[in-house]
Amino acid sequence: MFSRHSLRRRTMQIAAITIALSLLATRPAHAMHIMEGFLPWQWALFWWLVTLPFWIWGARRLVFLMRERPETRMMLGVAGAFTFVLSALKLPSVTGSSSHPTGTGLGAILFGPTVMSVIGSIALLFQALLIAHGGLTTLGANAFSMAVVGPFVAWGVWKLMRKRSLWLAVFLAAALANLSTYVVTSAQLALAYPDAASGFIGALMKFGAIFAITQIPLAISEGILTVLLFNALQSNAAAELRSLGALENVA
Amino acid sequence: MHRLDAYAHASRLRHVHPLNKFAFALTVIALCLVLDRPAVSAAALLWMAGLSLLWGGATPGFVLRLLAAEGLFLALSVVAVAVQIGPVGQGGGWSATVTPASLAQAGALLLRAFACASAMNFLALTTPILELAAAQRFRAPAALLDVTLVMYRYVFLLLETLMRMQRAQESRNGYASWSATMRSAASLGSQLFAASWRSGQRMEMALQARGYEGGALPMLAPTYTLSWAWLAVACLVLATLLGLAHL
Repeated sequence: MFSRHSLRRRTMQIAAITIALSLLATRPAHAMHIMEGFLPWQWALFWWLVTLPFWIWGARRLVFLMRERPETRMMLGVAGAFTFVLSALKLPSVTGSSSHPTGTGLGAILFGPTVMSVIGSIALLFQALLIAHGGLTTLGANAFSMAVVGPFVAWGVWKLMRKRSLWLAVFLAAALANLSTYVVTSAQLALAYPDAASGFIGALMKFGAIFAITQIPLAISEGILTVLLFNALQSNAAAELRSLGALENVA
Repeated sequence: MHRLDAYAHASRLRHVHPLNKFAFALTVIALCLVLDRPAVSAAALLWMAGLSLLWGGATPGFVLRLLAAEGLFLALSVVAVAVQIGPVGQGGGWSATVTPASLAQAGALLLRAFACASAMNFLALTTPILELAAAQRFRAPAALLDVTLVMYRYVFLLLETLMRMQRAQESRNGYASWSATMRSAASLGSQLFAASWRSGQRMEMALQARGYEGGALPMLAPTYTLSWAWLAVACLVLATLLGLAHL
C-alpha cells in the first residue's frame, strides 16, 4: 500500500493538521452570504453591475463549450450540482458542532474560474431559493465575493504553486479562496455601513473581527479537507481528473 | 431543503404564473429597500409571512425556521452596525460605544432584512425552481437555462447519494473522532465526484441514444390560470406598503 516514507509523511501531515485545528474552535457556520435586504439598494445595484461582466464572460464561455462539445451540457450541470452539494459536507470542529465548506477552491481547480463564476452564481441562487440562505438583491454582491473573487484567487494560486508542491497548492488555493471571500464580504459590508466615528476602516475592522471567529478556522479546515479530497480524487477518479485537465503541469 | 421544495410544489399558489410571483416578491423587496422605513418593513414582514402561511400553506414553525436559518449572519452583522468604534477623547485611545442613533439604525436594518427575507421565502415556498424555465420569455440563453435545470435535477440526486454514503460511514464509526471525520468527508467528496461524473456521462449517453442532438431539453409546459383574487391581494399588499411610506 504505502511506502514507509509516504506513510510517515502522511502521519506528519495529519499530526500537523490536528495541532493546527485543535488550536482553533470552529462554530457551526455556512459560507458567509449577505442576507436578503441587508444591503441598501444602491449597493445592491452596484454589485450587480460589477458582477455582470463576469457573468457575460462566463456565459459566453459556457455557450462556446457547449457548441464545441455538446456532451459538456450534462457535465456542467452535474459539476454545478456537485459544487452545491459539496457545501453539505460536514467539516469537523473541536466544539462538536459542524460547519460546511464553500467548495469554490476545488471547483476552480477542477473546472476553471470563468465557468465557476457562472456555476457558482447559479449555486448561490439555489441556496437562496432552496435553503433560504443569501438573497436575490444581494446575489450580485455574494456572487462577486464567492463566485468571482474566490475562484480567481484559487486559480491564480493553483497556477503559481502547482509545479512546486501539489498538496500545498491545493491547500492554499482552497484556504485563500475561502479567506478572500470573507475579506471581500467584510469590505462590502463596511462600504455599505461605514462606522459613524471611524468610517470605512473602522467598519472593516468591526465586520472583519466579528466574522473572523467563524471564517478563519473554516478557511483552514476547508484547505485541509480539500487536500485530503484531492488526494482521494487522484486515487478514485484519476481518469476524470485527467479529462478535465486538472492534472496538467502538476508537481 | 427537501421540505422547502415540497412546499413549493404543493403550494396553493402553484397555478399563478411564476413570473407574476417573481415580480411581486421583487417589488416588495424593492419597496422595502428604497423606502427604507421601519413601518413599511414591518407591514411587508407581516404580509409576506401571512401570505406564505395562509395562502402558501406552510406551517408557522417552518416559516420561522427559514427566517432563523439566516439568523447567524444577521445577529453578527447587526451587532457590528450597532456598535461604533473610534478614537475617544484626547488620548486617542479607541473604544466601542453604542449610541441611540446606531441602535435605531441596527433595529431598522434588522426589520428590513427580515421583511425582505420573508418576501424571498414567500417566493421559495410557492414557486419550484424548475419554473424558472419561464425566463425563456426574456431570451435568457438556452444553454444557461439548461445547465440550471440539469443542476436542479442533480442536486437532489447527489444529495440523496451523499446522505446514503454518509449514513454508511456513520454506521461504521466514520465520524467518531475528528481526524476520522476529515478522512470520511474527503473520501465521501471524492466518491461523490466520481459517482456524479459517471452518472452524468450515462445520462448523456442515454440522451444521445434517444436522438438528442443538443438544444433545449423538451419539457411539458405547465398551465397557469389568471387569478383575480391573487391579483387583488398583490395590489392590496403593494398599496399598503406605499401608503405607509409617509409614516
